[in-house]
Amino acid sequence: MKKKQKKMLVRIIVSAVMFTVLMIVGHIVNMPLWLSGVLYLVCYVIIGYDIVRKAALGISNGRMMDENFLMTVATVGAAALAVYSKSGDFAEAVAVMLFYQVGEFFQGMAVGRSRRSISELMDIRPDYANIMQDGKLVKADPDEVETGSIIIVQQGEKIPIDGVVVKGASALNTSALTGESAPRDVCEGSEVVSGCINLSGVLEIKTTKPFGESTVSRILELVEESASKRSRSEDFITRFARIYTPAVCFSALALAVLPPVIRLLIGSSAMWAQWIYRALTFLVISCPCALVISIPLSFFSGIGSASRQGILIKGSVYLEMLSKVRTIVFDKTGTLTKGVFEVSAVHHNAFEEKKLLEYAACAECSSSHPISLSLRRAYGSEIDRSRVSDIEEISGFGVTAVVDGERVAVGNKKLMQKLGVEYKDCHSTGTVIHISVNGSYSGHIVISDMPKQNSKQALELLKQEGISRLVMLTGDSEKAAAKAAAELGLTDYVSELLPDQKVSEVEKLISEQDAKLAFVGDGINDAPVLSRADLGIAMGAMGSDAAIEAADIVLMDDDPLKIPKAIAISGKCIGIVYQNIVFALAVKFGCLLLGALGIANMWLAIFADVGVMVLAVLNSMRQVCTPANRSHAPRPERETAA
Amino acid sequence: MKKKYEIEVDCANCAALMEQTAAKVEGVESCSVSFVMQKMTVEFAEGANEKKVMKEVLKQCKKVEPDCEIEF
Repeated sequence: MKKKQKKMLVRIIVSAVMFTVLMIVGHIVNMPLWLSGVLYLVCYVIIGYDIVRKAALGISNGRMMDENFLMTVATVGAAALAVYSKSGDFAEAVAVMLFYQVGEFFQGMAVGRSRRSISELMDIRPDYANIMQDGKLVKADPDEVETGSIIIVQQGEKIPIDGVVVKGASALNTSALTGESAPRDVCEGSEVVSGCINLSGVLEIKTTKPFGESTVSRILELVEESASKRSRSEDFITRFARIYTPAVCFSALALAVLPPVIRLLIGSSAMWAQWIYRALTFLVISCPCALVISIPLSFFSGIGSASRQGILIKGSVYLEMLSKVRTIVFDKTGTLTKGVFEVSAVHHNAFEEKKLLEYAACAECSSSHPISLSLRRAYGSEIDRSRVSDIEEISGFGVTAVVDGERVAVGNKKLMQKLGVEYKDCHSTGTVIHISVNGSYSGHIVISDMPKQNSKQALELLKQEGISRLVMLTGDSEKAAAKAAAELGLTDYVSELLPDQKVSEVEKLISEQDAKLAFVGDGINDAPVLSRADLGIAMGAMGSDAAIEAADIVLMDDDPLKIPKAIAISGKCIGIVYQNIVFALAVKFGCLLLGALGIANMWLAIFADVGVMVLAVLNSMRQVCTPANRSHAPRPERETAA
Repeated sequence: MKKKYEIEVDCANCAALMEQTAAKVEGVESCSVSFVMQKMTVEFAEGANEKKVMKEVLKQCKKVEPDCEIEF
């Protein structure tokens, strides 16, 4: 409990005891009006001085219509009524203030707890980095570790700074970043990102970035600043509170003045005291706390639980928008497919399959083109470079080289045409690589991009989530695009697009409909499209700064299943927000009506206000406590880490 | 220049008020307050004196929310 809260608790207990004693004594002995007035006033001051002070400050700063003001007017009004009617019943004024403070106290506790459990969800900040100093392991502030230093991460510790492993091998738990529970193996030379937990061996890591630019810091920055991109629901609440409070104050004034005046006009007694009392009750009921507190909290717990799953949402506005998305446009390579080309077929005539692949791999041995890489991967064994000479790379065509004394040409059909070699076209989809040896055609190798394991399932889940259009945009050939689209179950595709045509294609799709459109890309070459779409989702962003900058939602790993998951989280969050809005408003208006009719008194009013508040806060916290969050690998204890 | 400060604020609405208030202070380019993380991120205008500006920010914030604290 914070110091402030302890002080409040003492004030509550003291005034509650004093209040009870006064009530009992007041029933036994008949105190003079002035004496009970003074005693209750002491009690009132103990419990409510800060509220009155804030109300006074508010008025002097020109912001009078807040809850402090409401409470002060209500209680002072009730006390004034007690004097006016000579009843000496000051108890109600004190009780209202007392209950209000008890409510505020509980609310502070509840909100504080919720706040902490959300921030714990996202607590990936490492506290220290181990560095070697004079042969001893010293704990240093990660902020002070220079780039290029060697840090040591022991078993159970968090990696504090991005870097490269220089010694040791281990498995890393990346769940705090990606939500993925399977550990990732690393060894010497592997790049590691901060925020992962070292599960087994000791790692020596050479840092490649300062702490401030490491993955962990960037994520925390995003999450901490997400509050500034407020959603429309949140804006609605702020605007609502701005109009609501003055409106309620004037209605209360009207309730106090109009009925008595009308009664006077029609000739009956005015009953001022009764109507003023009703107006005061009305004021107490009207505090909009439940809405004002629970809505931002709901959004934040939504963002928090998403980030626990490796889905970073840059602001509540995007969380809200995600629930309204009806069209999702995908980039193909690297998003739905692995983006790694694999040899899918070898059609040979002159040589054996293995021999053909060997020629191709040898000729391509010095190229770093993705196609060369996949050819060499498919060949499998080491290539003896001394067998290859006279390598000539012809950009846009292919490669010619001399392998084992034979003139080998490896490339597309344009290369074959250029060399005057008669080639056969292939019926398979994918990139076709033709090979000729000593000027005669010897077959072709088909290389294609494989869909990711989860792509199909992810698209099915998206359809279940109510996404009606799933469009794929690709720079690939028509044939490859058609095949992938049919295989994965996309509703639409556009092929053979240049990067800038993707933007205009997305613009066309946006103009075709009213609902929101999301674009999913791998973030490296899709930045313009990511920012043009209503909602940009970047995948596989662990370590990629460009993606984090351009997108609104960032998936830390490249699993397409995270997209339906994100949509489900946003749907649930928005559901809770609406529940809270409807629930709080319904109770409020119900009580206001009862108060105006004189059925509800001030006591009930306070209970309604506090009760709705607490229920709404509990409701927003439902998201944090879903089983999906609990099932994550437990964090290692501090003791084992030391 | 962008800096982060630990703050103490008890309700989400007050946090929003602090944000609006701080953003209006001279020398503050933009400001965002995260109630959940209890952090205030301030982007200062060119050539602003950080200490001076933050003093004014605290003063103005105290006006809208007397209970708030900013550590700087």
